[in-house]
Amino acid sequence: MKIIICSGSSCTMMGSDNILDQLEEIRDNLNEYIDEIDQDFSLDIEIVHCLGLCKKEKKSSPVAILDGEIIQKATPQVLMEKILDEAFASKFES
Amino acid sequence: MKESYIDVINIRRLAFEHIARIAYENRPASDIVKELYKILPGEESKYRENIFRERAVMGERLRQVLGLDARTADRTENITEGIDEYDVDTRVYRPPLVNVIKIACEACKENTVEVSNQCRACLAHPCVHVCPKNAITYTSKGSVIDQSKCIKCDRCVNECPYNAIIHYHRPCAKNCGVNAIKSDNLGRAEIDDDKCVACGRCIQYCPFGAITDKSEIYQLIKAIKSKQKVLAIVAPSFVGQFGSLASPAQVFEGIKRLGITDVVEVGLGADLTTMNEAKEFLEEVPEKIPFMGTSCCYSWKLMVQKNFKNINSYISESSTPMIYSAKHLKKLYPDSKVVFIGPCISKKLEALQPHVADYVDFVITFEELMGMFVAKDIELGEIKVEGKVMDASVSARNYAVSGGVAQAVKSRIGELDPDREVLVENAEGLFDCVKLIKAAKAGKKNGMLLEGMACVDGCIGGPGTIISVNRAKKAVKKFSGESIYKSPADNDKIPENEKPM
Repeated sequence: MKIIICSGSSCTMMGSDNILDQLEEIRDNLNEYIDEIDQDFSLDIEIVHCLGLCKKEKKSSPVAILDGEIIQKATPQVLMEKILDEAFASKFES
Repeated sequence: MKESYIDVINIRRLAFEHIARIAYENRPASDIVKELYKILPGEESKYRENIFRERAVMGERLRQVLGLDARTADRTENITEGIDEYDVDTRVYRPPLVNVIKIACEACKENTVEVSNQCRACLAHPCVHVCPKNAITYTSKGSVIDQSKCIKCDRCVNECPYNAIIHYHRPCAKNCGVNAIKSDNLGRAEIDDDKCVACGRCIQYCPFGAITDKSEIYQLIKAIKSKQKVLAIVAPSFVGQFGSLASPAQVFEGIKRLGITDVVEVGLGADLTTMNEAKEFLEEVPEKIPFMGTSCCYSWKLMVQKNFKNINSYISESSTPMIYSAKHLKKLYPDSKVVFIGPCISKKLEALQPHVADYVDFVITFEELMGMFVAKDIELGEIKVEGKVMDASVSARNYAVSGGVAQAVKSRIGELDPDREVLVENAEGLFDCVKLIKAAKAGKKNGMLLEGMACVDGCIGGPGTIISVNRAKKAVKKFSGESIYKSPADNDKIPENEKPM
């Protein structure tokens, strides 16, 4: 999976580094959350400059894009749930 | 901590952003009324029981960002009451720095042990049988603790097979290392200013966001807007605080785009502190004083001053990095104003001291600065910059992490007198600072150099920081390694005549 985290000023103020901390933790310890995880499953985290979404719509920070889906007011919890669900599902697809 | 308290933290940061917007957009301070409705629109509350209280609390928060005291419910008249005095371009706030917003305080139970409704009134009732004070009575409806007898030893808490006995702590008071939080007549937190050393721990740990400190960003921006020459000095822990893609040089350039004329690392002053403290240690220990405490953390210094008067003179008399840096800049630019930007709120108190006030005109935190960047739409990571920030030595940049100050002074002593063996010890967090100074007072630390940091992990754990300490630690280490000055004495940004002989 590919997750893009906005590190623009507004997102940084509203805790994007906190999202990064929690996602990096889950990325590095995926097998603690899911038994016999699919070895091909990986989480790619990319940090980008301001995506500009907060300027169009107030109060949308922090912003993340998970496999193309834009998530506003992102929390680590929403993102981690999606990631763990996908990681769990991929066990049975492969 | 930061990840689990994110909602409280974000409310605080929004207040900084919105006050900065008012100031940058040249609007009157009375516009806090409008901002209040922008921050909390609609008819429904998000966190508190109704939107009226939520807005009232936010209103007091905004007033404190302007520098005013938080009001109690009997005095919450118009939200703009008394703000004219604060609509100025110089420092106006007065202590107390740390305030309980009484209308936000939920009057959490003070230190008590209580039987909860999970009690099954079991036949064994081991709680009764382990109590050393005979304070628990068994009834068929459950155990009852006689509060007048209970000494909060927790034996019943640990013994209950149903985890039905709870030891309540008030988060603000539990985390206060100097026991400065009491209750008022309505059971709400009250800060004893004679004890408080403004470490900011209660602000960080109140789950209701009911404790805040006063800010000076409004007056700082006014000073910038009034075309005064404002210079910034930035504490060593700034690295990495403003977004993963913002380099130190971009942060400095971003600060200039806020309207600030020049920016210098506080590490420059830290090099002077290192050199002066090393010299002082060699001259004073053990002939004149039995041990020496470092001087940079103002909360540690205040804690010793307030509680251990007899040994106050054992804390280094060298100035702090903030003071040295500010003096350095005021010499270069005589008619300027200096703002210290750091992770720390107790520096706001230090800057009020008579010997400091002339050099440091404003103090703001990284969080407050972030609010200014957002208000001015500055995207740090996208700024084109050339060159590197280079005002401080390797060891000065490490001041940000606990143990760094003592290490810097120790290395410097080694340069001056290679035969001198110096033992150092460092304490982080006020609880440990108190323990360390007590042991030192009892004569157990003689001959040593003692570093006290009121924040766990040192300055990178300060109440005004933005990122987690692990992330900050890595960033500081990397930045420290990039310095071309291996010794504080190599720092050629400091004029030779300012360095101690």
